[in-house]
Amino acid sequence: MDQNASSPAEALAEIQRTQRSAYAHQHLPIWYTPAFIAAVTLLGIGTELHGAARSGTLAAAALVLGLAVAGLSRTTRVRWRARTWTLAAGAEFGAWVASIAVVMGVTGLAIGAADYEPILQRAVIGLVGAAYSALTLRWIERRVLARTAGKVVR
Amino acid sequence: MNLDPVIHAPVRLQIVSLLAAATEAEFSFVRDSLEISDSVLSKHASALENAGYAHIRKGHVGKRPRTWLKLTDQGRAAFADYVTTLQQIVGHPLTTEPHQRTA
Repeated sequence: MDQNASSPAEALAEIQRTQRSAYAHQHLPIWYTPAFIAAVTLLGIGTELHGAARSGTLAAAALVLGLAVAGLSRTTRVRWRARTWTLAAGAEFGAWVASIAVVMGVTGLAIGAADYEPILQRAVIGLVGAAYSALTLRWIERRVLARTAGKVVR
Repeated sequence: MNLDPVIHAPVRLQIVSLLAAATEAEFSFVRDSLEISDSVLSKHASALENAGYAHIRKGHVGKRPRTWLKLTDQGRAAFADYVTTLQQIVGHPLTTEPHQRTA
């Protein structure tokens, strides 16, 4: 910040710049959405199984979920307040989450027509959803950041 | 209009602006985001803590020591007042008194 330029307008602009720069510095790890999708996929596969295989798969789902939460907790360097979100940013992020569901749903329909085993179907759906979410994560982060422009969080 | 001298110092304004958007931020995140040195951040974080505006928490994640910074309720209130004052000044650009730096 310029030591000699501190007019009220410049100070307000500096606050905005600082907050937006900080948002841009925080990147969640690329594996976090695939990990959660993997946990949900394992949960779904577990419901298709019986006996020890079911218990083992459900335990694996819980383990993946636990590791993902622990990993996020270890790597997170800042916890943002809810008010950093704008309505437009929230809508954009919500649309992205919905798009993951759509991609997984369309994949399910596509492979459903091919008459695969239910477990294989769930695995493929999970794999496609995980890949889609990982490939689009940085893109949605940039979109959400752009939708926070002009907001000063107090 | 008076601007809070604790917040109005340039580096402290950046630190408080960042912390206002966060529940809590790691020392290294604030340092990297603001592109300042450890010593500069330590100095200003201590000044904010002495003013009652910030809380510094030391802890560990695994075996690695980490320091977390957060604004206190008093600090959040002071920053909210500061921004309100700035917006009032900007909203009334015909003020006759020149703006004075207080820190």
